[in-house]
Amino acid sequence: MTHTSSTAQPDLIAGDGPAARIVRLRDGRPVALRVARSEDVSAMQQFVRGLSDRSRRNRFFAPVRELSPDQLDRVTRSRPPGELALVGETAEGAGSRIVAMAQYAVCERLDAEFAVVVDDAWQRQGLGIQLLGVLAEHAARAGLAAFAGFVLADNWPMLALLARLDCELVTDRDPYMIRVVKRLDAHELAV
Amino acid sequence: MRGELLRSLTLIEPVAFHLLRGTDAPALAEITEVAESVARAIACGEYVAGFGRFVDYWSSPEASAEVPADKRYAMAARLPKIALDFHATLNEPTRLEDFRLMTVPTLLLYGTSSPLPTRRICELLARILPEAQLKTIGGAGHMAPVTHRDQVNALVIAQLDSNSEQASRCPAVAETLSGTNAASAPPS
Repeated sequence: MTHTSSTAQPDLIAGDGPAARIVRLRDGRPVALRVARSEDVSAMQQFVRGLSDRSRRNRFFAPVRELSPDQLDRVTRSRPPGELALVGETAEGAGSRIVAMAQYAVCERLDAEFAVVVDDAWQRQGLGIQLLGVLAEHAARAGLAAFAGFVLADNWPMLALLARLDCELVTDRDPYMIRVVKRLDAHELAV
Repeated sequence: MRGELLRSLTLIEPVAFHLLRGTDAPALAEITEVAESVARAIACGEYVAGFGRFVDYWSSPEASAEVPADKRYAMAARLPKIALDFHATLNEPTRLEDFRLMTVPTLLLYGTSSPLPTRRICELLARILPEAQLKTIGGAGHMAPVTHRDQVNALVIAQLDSNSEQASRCPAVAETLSGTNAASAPPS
């Protein structure tokens, strides 16, 4: 697994390191990766509303316009080690803006499921792979053996990204959905 | 819709959830929460857990835990379609009153242990459809066609037989009506 620009690998949930990890994208823009928190509800809704139809379909499998209050509460909540939600945040004027989110949640004893989405204007810059890399790293630190997700079969950019993360692609009888599995190895991730 | 081609219908717990709007608030609230839990699972990327809650609601509290892990994953891939199905069935514009026009002989079936929403839908349709029969299967749940298949099959066969010799009926279904998960009887 590669992290293109981050050298230190602080644990974002341990409380003994920086609260965010700064990664630099291919075009040089910096993005802060940090754990989502309840104060992000409004920014998260803005992020979802700003996604293109295609991105919303790829992430939510439906033309979801916005998230319900209950859904917003869940996607901004982390209960590590079983649940972890990360956001990518960028400075905008005097404030900041969420440009990506990813989360995992344990579904079996040592397995978790994950999902990720990146703002359209920030795609194809290496943000998704870095965000997933940090998420996988924390899942491995939590002792999980694998995490898996579902990707629409025509979402080629995401399938290509996951292939670079050495994910296994599992095709079932459903021709429209591909299950992707990332085997987690704490030693590999720590390198 | 070519209503004149229908001789009979058998509806086993039709998921016409839109019929609960304005007619049964508790049942509508219950199924809306199930739909919301599916949407919430997708929003959080928790497909296996979301599908598990869906299966447990329609079957029994521990039903999903008994499904082998590989099958749970395969089933979880269907969660997005379930979310779309909920959206369609909760927002279908056909009103209960519109079903008065449906004069085809209709057997409505539900299990007495099924969740409240589908039992209520059967009862609502039984009151409004001009030629409806309502029958229940004691102790059965939503999966009655699987768990009580002999009883269900016998009732379906009786419904087919009792209508197979009759002359074609028309008009059976108004053009404006759309179906739920109706099973039409084939011509004999």
